[in-house]
Amino acid sequence: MTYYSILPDAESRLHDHSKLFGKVSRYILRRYPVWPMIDHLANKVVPVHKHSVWYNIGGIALFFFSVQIITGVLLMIYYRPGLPWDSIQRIVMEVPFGNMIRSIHHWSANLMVFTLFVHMFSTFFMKAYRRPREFTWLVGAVLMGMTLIFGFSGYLLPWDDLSFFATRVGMSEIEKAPLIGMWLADIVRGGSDVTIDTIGRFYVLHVMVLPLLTLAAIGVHLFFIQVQGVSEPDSFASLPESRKRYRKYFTEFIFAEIPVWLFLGVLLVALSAAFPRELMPEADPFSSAPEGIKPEWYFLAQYQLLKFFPGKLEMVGLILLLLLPLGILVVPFIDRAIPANSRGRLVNRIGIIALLGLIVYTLWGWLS
Amino acid sequence: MNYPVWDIPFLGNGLIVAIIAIIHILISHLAIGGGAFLFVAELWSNRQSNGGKIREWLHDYATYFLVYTTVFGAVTGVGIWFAIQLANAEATSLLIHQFVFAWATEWVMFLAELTILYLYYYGWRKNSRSIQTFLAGAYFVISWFSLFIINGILTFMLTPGSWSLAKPDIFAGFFNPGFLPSLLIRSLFMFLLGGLFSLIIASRVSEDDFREKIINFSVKWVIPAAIFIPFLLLWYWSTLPENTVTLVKEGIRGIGGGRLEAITRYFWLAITSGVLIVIGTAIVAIRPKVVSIAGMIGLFMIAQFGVMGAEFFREMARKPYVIYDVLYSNSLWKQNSLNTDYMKTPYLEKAAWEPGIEPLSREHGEWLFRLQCASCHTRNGYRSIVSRTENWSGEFGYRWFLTMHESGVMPPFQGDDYDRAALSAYLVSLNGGFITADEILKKVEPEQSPADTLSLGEMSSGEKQP
Amino acid sequence: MTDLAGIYLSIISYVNLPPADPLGYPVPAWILLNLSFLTLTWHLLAMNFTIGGAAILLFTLVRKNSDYRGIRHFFGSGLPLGVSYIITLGIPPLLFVQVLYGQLFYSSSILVGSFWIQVIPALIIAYSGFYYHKFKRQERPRWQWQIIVVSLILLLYIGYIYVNNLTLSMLPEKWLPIYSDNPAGGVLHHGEPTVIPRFLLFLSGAFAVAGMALIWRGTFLLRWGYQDEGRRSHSFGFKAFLLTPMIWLIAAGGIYGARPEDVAMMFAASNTTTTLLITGIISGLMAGIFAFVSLNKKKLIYPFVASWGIFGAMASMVIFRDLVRQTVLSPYFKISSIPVNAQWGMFAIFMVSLVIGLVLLIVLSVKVFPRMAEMARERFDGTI
Repeated sequence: MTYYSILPDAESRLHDHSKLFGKVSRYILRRYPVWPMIDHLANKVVPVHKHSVWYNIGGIALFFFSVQIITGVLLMIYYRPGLPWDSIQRIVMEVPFGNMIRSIHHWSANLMVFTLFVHMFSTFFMKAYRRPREFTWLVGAVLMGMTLIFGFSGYLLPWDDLSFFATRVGMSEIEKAPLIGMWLADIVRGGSDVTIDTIGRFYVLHVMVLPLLTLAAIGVHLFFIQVQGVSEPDSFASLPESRKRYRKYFTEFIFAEIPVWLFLGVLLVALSAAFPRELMPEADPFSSAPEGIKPEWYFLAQYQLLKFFPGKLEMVGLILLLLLPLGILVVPFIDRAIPANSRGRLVNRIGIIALLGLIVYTLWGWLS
Repeated sequence: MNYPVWDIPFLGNGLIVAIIAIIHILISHLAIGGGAFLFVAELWSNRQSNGGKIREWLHDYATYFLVYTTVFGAVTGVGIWFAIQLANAEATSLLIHQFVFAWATEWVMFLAELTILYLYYYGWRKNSRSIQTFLAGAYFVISWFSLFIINGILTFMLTPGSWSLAKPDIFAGFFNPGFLPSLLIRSLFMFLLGGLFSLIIASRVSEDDFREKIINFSVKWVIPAAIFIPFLLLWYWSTLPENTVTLVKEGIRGIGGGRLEAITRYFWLAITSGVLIVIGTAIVAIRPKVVSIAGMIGLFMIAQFGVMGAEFFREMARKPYVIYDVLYSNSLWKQNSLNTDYMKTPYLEKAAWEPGIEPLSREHGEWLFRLQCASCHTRNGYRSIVSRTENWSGEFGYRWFLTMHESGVMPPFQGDDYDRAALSAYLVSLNGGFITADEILKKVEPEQSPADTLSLGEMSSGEKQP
Repeated sequence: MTDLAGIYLSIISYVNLPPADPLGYPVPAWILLNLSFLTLTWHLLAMNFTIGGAAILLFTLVRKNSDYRGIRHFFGSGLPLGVSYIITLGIPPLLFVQVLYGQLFYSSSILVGSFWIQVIPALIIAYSGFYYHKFKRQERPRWQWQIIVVSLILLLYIGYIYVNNLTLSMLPEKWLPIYSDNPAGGVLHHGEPTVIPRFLLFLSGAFAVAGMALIWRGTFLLRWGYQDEGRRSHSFGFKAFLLTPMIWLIAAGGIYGARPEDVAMMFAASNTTTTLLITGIISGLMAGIFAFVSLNKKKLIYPFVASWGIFGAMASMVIFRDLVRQTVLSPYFKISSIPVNAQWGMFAIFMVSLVIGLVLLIVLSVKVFPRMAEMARERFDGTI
C-alpha cells in the first residue's frame, strides 16, 4: 500500500523496476515523496568552458574536510585534554598507525586551507558572488573564517613548544585590538596567559562547536548552490545558446572528480610518509620562546604586515588588516553588474593586488 | 672506505638516487607495459569493425608513449647509473664486476627495443599489418627481457641467496630467492601502467561512444594486478630478511622518536596507492563516458606515489647493508667488520681519503662523520644527524657508538676510543654544544676495560641482542 | 720516461688509488678493451652526428635560406633519434670503463660529483628541446633557433663535464687535495691544460659525420630523381666535412702545446702509437677523398667507403687515447695486475644475444626502410 502515488513521469524516468537499483528507488519513493528534489538534482548541470576546472576546487576542499573529520575522530579516541602532550606522544609512538593518522590530519589541514584560498580567489575572479549568489559568498566567507579558527585552535592541542609559543604570539596579536583587545584575549585564553584552560576552550571549539557550525554552514552553502545552480562566468554567459555546453552535475561532474580525490588521498599519505609531523618537547611556559617562532603559514602574511606598524602605528596596521575581511564581505554589494562594468574591473585589479600581497608577505614571513 | 664520500648538504647522495629512481621506475615499467598494450591493441583492432579508427587513436598513444619513455625513461635510467656510482662506488664496483655481461646483454635488449620502436612508429602509415603487429610484439618481448635481467641484479642486492664473495656464482646470485616474486609483481604492475596510461590518452577522445570502447578495453589491464599482486606480495614478503620484517612490524608503532618506522610509512603508502588505483579504475569502469583528463592523470600519479612508497621500502629493507650480508651502506665490507683488529684500528690510519688531520680535533670528528656516516645521513637535512643527536652528551655518544649496530639499521662503528670521542664531540658541537674529544676521554676513562674490547667482536655480526 | 717515473714514484705514497675490486675482471682484459673501443667509437659517431647536425640546423635556422629547407627538415627530424642513440650507444662504453678502470673512474666522478650529476637534467632538457622542435616547428616557427641553441649548448656542456671527469681520472695525484677542499664535488676544472684541446678533439669529427649524413642523403635523393636537392645536399655536406680537419689540427696542436714532452714521449715510446696516428690520418684522408668522389654521383659505394674511413679514423683515435691513459697511469695502475675471474658462460650469453640482436635489427630494418623511404619521398614531393 502506498501513502501517495508516484508521479507518472517519475515512473517512466526511474530505472528499470526489474533491476535492483530500480526496485530500491521505488521502495524509497513510495515512502518518502522526494521525487521533485531528485528530479531537480538529477538534471543539475554544470557549464563546460575553459575555466570549468575551478568548479572542482570546492569539492576538493570538502574532501580534505572529510579527511579531517575522520582522522580527527580517530585522534580524539586517544587524545586527553588533561594530558595533552603525553597523549599525543602516545599516539605518535605507541598507537598503531598513530603517527600516520596524526600526520595526515596535519597535512590535510594545511592543504584544506590552501585549497580554500584557491577556491575563494577563483570564485572571486569569476565574480560568482554576484546576484543571486551574494549569500552563498557570505556563507563562504564565514566558512573561511571558521576554518582559520579551526587551524588556530587545533594548533595548540599538542601542547608542545611550537604550539604553545605560536598560540601565545597569536593571542598577543589579539590583545592589540582596540578597546576590546585584552578582554577578548582573556576570554579566548581563559585567563591572562595560555594555560590548560586554554586547551579546554580550544578543544571544545575544535571538536564540537566549530564542526557543528561548519557542517551546518556547508549544508547551507551547498543547498544554495543546488537550488541556484553553478554560476556562469561572463565569457560563457555571452555565448549563443547553441554553443553552450553542459555536463550533468552528479553523474558526470562528480564522478569525474573521484579519481582526483583518490589521488589527493594518496598525496596525503605520501606527505605523511616523507614529512611526518614532529612533536617538539613539552611546552614549558617559563622558558623563553624558541628562536624565530612564527605563526602557521596561513597567518604569516598578516603577522609580517603588522611588523611594519610597531608601537603607536599598530592601529594603522590593524585597520589595514581589517580591510581584507571587510572587502570580502562587502564585495557582492559593490560589484553587481552583469556583465562586469568598469567597477567590476577595478574590483578585479584590487583582488589581484590583494592576492599578490598575500603571496609576497607570506613568503617574506616564511623566509625571514 | 676505499672511495671518497660524495658529501651533499641537505639532500644527501642517497636521496639523489631515490629521486631519479622513483621517476625512472614508473616510466620504465610503463615502457614495457605500454609495449604489451600496443601489441594487444593491434591484435584487438584487427578484429574490430572500426579497426582503422582504433589504430589512429593508437598512434596518439604511441606518440606520447614514445616521447615520454625515450626522453624521460632512458635518461633517468642512465641517471641511476650516475647517481649510484656517486653514492656508493664500492657497491657499484662489486655489481659491475659481477654482472657486467648481464648488463651488456640488457643493453642489447635496449638497442633492439629502441630500434624496433622506431621502426614501428616511423613506419606506421606504410608498414603492413603483420609487420606492425610483429614489431609491437617483438618490442614487448625484448623489453620484458631487459626487465628480466635488471630484476636479477636488483633482487640480488637484497637477497643474494647462496652467492658469497668467496664463491661468487653469478647464476646463484642472479636467480636468488627474491627473483621470481619480484619479476611477477613487476610484470603485472607494468600491465596496470599500460592501462592507466591508456586511460589518460583515452580521456582526450571527444566522441563519447568511441571513448567508452577504448576505456572498456583499457581498464581490463588493471585486473591481473588487482587479483594477483596481493598474493605475490605475500610471497615476496616471505623472502625478505628477518631483520627487515621485524622493523616493518615494529614500525607500526613509532619507535625511536617516530623516526625508525620510515620503512613502515612507505610500505603503507605503497599499499594505499595500490588499493586506491583499483578503486579508481573500478569507478572509471562503472562510468566510462565521464572521465576527465585531470582525473586520469591523477590516477596515474597515484601509481607514481605507489612507486615512491615501494622504492623507499625496498631500499630501506636492505639496511644496514647495500648488498645484504656482504657490504654495509657505508662501504664497510661485512667480512672486515668481523675482524676485531680491523675494526679497532684508529680510523685515521685506515681512511684513505682524509687529508691528514690532527687527532682529536674538530676536523677529526668532521672527517669521521663524512667518511663513515655521510653515506646515509646529512647534518641538517634528510635523515638528519642533528635531530637524532639532539639530547646527546659527549659521554653518551662515546658509549652509544659501541652498540649502534644493535638497532638493526646501523653498521658497526669502525675506530678506536679516540675516534669515538672525536665523533661524539663533533656531533655535540653540531647541536650547539661545546665539548672537545679530550674532555670526553677524561670523563669516561675509568670505564675503559679489556672486557669492552672483547665484547665488540661478538657484537659485530650485526645480530640484535636478545 | 724514466725521469717521470721517478717523480711519480716519489709521490706515489700520497696517491690514494682505491684497491681493485675483489672480483677482478670477468674476462681477459683484451676482450674488455676491444669491446670498449668498438662501442665507444659507435657512441662517438652518434654524438658527432648529433652535435654537427645541431650546429648545421642552427645555421640553417638563423640563415633562413629557403635552399636549406630540406637540410633543415632532415636534421630537425633526425636529431631526437641522434640523441636517443647517443644515450643507448653510450651505455656499453660506460659499463666497460667501469669494469676496466673503475677505481679511477669512480673516484674522479665523485670528485666532480655535483657536475657529473648535472649531465642528467642537461640531457633531459636538450633532448626535450630537439623533440619540441621536431613536433612544433610548423606550428610555432618563432622560437626555434633559440631552443636549438639551448639544446646544443647543453650537449656541449655535457661533453665538457665528461672530458674534465675522464681527464681527472688519469691524474690520481691530484685527488686528495681536491677532495679535502671540496667534498661535495663542486669544482669541475682542475687546471689540467689538455682538457680544452681534448674537448675540441672529441668534437672535431662533428662536421665530418653530420656532413657524411648529408652526403648519404644526397646520394639517395639523386637515385630517386631529385637532382637539385641531391646536389645541394652533397655540396653542403662536403663543405661541412671540410671543417673537420681544420678543427682536428687545432685540437691536436693544442694538446701538443699543452704537454709537448709527454706527447713526444708517447710517440717515441712505441711503434703502436705512431701506427695508430698514421692509420687514423690515412683513414681520414680516405674518407675525405671518397666524400669528394661521391659528389653528384649516384653510386652507393663511394659514401660507403668514406663512412668506413670516418669509422677507422675515429677508432684509431679511441685506441690511441686508451694507450695514452694506460701510459700515464702506469706508475700506479696496470691493467695486467688485475686478476681475471672468468665468467665465460655469461660472456657467451652476451655475445650470442649481441649477434642475434644485430641480425634481427638488420633483417627488420631491411623490411621497413623501403616503406620509410617511400614516406620520405611522398613528404618530399609535398614540401620541396
